[in-house]
Amino acid sequence: MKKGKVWKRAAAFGLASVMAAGVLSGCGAKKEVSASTANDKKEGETNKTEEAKAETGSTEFTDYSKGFPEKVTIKIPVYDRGFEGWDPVNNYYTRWIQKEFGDKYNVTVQYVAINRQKEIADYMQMIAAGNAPDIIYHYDMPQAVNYNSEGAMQELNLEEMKYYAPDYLKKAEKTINTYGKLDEKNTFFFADRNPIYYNWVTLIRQDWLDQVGKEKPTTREELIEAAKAWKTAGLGKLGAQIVNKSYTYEYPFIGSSPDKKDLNQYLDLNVAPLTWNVTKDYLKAMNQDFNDGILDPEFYLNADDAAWKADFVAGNVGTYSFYISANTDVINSLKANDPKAEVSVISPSAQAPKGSHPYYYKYPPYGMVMGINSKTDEKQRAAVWMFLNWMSQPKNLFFLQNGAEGVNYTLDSDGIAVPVKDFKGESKLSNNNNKDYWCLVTEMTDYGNDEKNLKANIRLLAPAGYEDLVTQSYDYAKEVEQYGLISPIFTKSIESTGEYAADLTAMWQEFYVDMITCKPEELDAKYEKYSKEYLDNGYQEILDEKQKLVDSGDFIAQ
Amino acid sequence: MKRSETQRNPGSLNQSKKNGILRYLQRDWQLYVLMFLPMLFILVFKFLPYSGLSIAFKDYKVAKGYAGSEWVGFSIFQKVFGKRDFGQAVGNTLLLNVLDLVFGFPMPIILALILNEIKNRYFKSVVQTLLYLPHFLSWVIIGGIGYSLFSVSSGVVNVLIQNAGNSPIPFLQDNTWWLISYVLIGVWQSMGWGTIIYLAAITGVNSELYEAARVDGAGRLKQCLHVTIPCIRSTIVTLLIMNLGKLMGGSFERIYALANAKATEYTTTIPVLVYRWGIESGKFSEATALGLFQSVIGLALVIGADYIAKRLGEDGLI
Repeated sequence: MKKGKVWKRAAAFGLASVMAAGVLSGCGAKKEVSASTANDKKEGETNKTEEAKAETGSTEFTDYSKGFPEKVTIKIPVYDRGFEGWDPVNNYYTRWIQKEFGDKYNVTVQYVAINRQKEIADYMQMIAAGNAPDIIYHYDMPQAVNYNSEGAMQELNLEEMKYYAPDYLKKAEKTINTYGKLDEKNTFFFADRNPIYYNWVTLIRQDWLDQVGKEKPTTREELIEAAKAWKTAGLGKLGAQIVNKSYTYEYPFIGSSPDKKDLNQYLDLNVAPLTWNVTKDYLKAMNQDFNDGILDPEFYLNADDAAWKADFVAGNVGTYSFYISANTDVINSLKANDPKAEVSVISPSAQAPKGSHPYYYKYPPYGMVMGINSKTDEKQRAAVWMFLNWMSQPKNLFFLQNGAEGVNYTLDSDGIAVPVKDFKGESKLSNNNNKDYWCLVTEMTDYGNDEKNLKANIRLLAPAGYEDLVTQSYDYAKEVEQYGLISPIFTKSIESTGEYAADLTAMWQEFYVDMITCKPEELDAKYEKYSKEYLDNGYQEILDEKQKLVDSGDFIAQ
Repeated sequence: MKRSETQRNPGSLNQSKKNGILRYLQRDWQLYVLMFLPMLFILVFKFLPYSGLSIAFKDYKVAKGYAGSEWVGFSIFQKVFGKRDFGQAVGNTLLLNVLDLVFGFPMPIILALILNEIKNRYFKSVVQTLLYLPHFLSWVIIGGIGYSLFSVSSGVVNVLIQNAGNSPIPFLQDNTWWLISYVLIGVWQSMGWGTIIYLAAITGVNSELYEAARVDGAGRLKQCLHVTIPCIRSTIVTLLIMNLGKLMGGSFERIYALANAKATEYTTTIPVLVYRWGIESGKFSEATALGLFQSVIGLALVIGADYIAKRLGEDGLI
């Protein structure tokens, strides 16, 4: 009897499974079919491109300047920075792009939102699912190299680019020729970058400085002194946030005559150079600050910029470094919290200790690093090139950067766009002035000369009434201009970085926080121990691999 | 379902044998339809992903896909087992989960027994609601609340402690304290919700048993100890076995939300490594291999516990 029951149950279960499986296999089979056709198609197309490549002359490319005979859809990435009230994939400007470019050439320009905070995960998932955008990009070369080594990018044909995007290529040709090759293949293309550094500012509480009778610090020693005076007066501390990515913390500690070899080995945005003696100097200084009670004792809880900003606004800390922009709320919030608060900007040299030049991370001469998705077909590629060429036309670029004349801005006598104050209309720009759309072409607005650019940038960067913050910052940036250091750019992928970077980052976080928050006398022993552990668990391999590339000349230094 | 069959068609065994499986389908099709969705869910989300496990044995490149990537045998596992963090992660995972089991498992039972004794209906439902609430908060929010309550310099609790003239306690910023806070916050979050299943089991206890106990002179405590607990024992054992299966798992969010760079001794666990390797650095093969390892150990634990439970005369799970 019992056995019979069990059988019954089993049969019922079996039935249900069969039903479910039946429906599912229906779906599954369909998917397989479409996947295999996609594969066939792709193979067919690669063959075609290869054949096309064999021919010479521009006749090999079809002219689409009258528009594509059949609708072509291109997927263009756009960073989603979570701006309030802003839909990155469907707004006035995406519709404008569709109208002005898409409809004209029979192309659907479909924007794909990439979460800025976790862009790599987003991209990886889309690459895995086979629906990544046609352009795969990242601001830093090493990650772009990683995408390529995942097989996500295809080799570029510069002739093709020249045919479809002559104006774009003209601007980008130099960087493409210098940096665009990876393992001897043309892989990357770049947006233009005429970098400015004065948008990165460190604010200081001027009212606190006045209260303790200190001048604005210009060296690290003076900054420390001011902070000590703050402590005595019962004011706040020096602000900081946890360093766990984009490692540039060590730059002001590099000294006065750095060894070229060291720079090539250790400068790296993706892996913290823990074992470099420069890092030891940095840790010692920070440890001292911590033990003197002048550093935010919970700096490591500030996982992002917002947390540090909150500390600054609340008056817990007296310094705050960030990318300034006209619509930043930090000063207004601070004022709302403490009406007596005054801020000013300090020089980058206030981060560098005695005997060290105020070195800083210098951008490579390119902006966004881009590659074409390996799944993108010939027509889509042509459409992407045409899109980039269209966007690099000054008229279109200017519209994307500034909006409509007379609505978003008015032109002043220098031909510089003056944004309309608090414009809230339909054609409102995104919070970073639509940068995430035109970053495919250039990283900065450019009026042709420094003076004009500064004028224009003050309007973009300075909150109303705080123009002097930006001009001060500009002057400081000029003062230290010669101390920019470009980290070496390797033209082959560094496999060990991809392998160990995440684990090393986890180690670094743990080690460096411990070394800053420990007693000063423990620091040396800890440094020894941690350095060894760090080297043993991947860092040595990275250093060796880099050295090998340096020796074989597979890198570009400044 | 079993009950409904017998109710609607008592003594139909012979008949159904004659007509076979189709008869069930015809007679109870509504029930099968009801069952269809959950079954589909389990198939899609629990069984279909098994095919993806193959990437633990492959050098998986996202753009090449499952089929295009190269088979590499067990070399991924070798690599994973050789990593610095692997041993620590296994140790921490076991430690955190054993602590959770020791402190977290009995709490819902005790709480259910206490709730069962509350006679005021309104008070009982208010208490129950308050106890369930934390279950519905995401760990990110609990983490945020945790830091604003317990951080050293600005946490409310520490401010109170300091105002009382004592030195602050690094609830979340010291390794040992972190461990304690982690377990206690976890118990707080899950104990209320955990009572539901026990309360349901208690409802099923035959009231005649209580009457008999009362006749024999048992007070409330004795009734609880000698009637309620023995009656829900099989539920307890079932849940214990299921919980043993989670010994190698654990919640990633909970650690991620409560961790900070100062107290890192216990925060490297298997789920954290899976996240770091799989999501942060895109090494899907390694992450999958580690996840597979974790599941295999978890399965072994469940089967072992089930075996022991059966040997001890309990019902078991499987």
